[in-house]
Amino acid sequence: MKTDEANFEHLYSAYGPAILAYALRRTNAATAQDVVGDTFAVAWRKRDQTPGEALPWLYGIARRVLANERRGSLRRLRLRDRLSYERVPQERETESGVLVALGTLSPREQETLLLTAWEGLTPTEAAVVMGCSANAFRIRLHRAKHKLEQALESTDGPQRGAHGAQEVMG
Amino acid sequence: MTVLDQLAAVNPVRSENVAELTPQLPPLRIPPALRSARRSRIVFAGAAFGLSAVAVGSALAVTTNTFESLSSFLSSSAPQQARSAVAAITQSAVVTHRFGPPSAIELAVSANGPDGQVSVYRLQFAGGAVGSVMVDVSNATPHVDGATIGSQEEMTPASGLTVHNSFVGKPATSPVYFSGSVASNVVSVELLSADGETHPVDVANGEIIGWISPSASSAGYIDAELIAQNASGVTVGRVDACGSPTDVDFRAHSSTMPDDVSAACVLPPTPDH
Repeated sequence: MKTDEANFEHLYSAYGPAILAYALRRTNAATAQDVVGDTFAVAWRKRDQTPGEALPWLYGIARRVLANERRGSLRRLRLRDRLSYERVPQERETESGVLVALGTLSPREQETLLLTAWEGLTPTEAAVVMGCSANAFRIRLHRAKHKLEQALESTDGPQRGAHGAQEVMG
Repeated sequence: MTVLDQLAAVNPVRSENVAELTPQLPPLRIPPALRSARRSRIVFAGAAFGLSAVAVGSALAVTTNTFESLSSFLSSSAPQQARSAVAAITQSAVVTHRFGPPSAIELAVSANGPDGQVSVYRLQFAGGAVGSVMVDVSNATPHVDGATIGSQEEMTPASGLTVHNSFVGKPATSPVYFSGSVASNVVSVELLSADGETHPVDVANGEIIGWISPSASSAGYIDAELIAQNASGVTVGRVDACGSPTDVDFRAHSSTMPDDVSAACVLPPTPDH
């Protein structure tokens, strides 16, 4: 048991910052800390399943924790005047056209792109996070990049705004 | 510049800065061993109550001093249903064999449910264990329900809320009543349903009692959440309540549910008979 705890503390110190960064890229600081705590609580319960390459596995847990957190937030948001679901933090949308365009993609497409661009994962590693094969991830990534390019063109071109976005979403 | 490059350029936390986040990491919490909430289920016949009896390790502190002896309680003016429930526990061979008969009892928490009063009574056993019994005093019709016997660790601030048992009088008509325990730092518990409505859950003496109305189900399914908060308004315990109005599963708030909400907390439909 002591060995278990020591190993787990090592896992936490090695990968905790990366999981915190993952969460901070997607939510606010307070929630990010909760996500880290919950992610490692789950990881502790599943410690006998920890793979050799632990980081993608931890990202996968964090992804589900964050989705679950958003699900709980959604209930609370409905409670508070039925605000809309926040997929990308509002302040970032005003900063960058690429993030505005990203916001028009589905959550899965967004995550596919962000795991590559922000976490710097290879398709094989990202596939572990997304729970699919590496080949499937490559296909998803290719399609998501194409959609993002189209969305960027749509958001850049005022003539094609909403119509272009609809085409992208379709 | 590819779209991935454009995305990388707006990365809120660049990879070279990740190591600097170490001081911001929350303290590592290694959860205690999971409690075994439902070791066995016992059915009592001919009693007018729904009950759950959870024999609890002696580490669970009972700080109130309002216990009375069993004989005093059984001859008191307490509701007949409660006395019947306690009498049934006392006579249970399994309870008596494993823990001995309860020696003392107190009223922990009581609430006015949609159909009448519901209460949780706390029991002390001769061997030092404690337990609880949930009693629906609104149900005067003889009714059979079960008792849950198990062992349980002390509630801690890190595991602020747990639900021991639940029962439904008339499925899809009666509320789903539930009872449980909270850590000493919990001051409030609320039930948050999927439609965003909230209902306070009664809390007293470390025990909770509440109910989920049949109307809270959506398309025949219940998807709700119990949230326990401390005096500072910080959430210290969460329990998911999922299932059909006839069979609600209360479990520690899951961090491993799938993204798809519809698949996360929904049981498949039960065919009508």
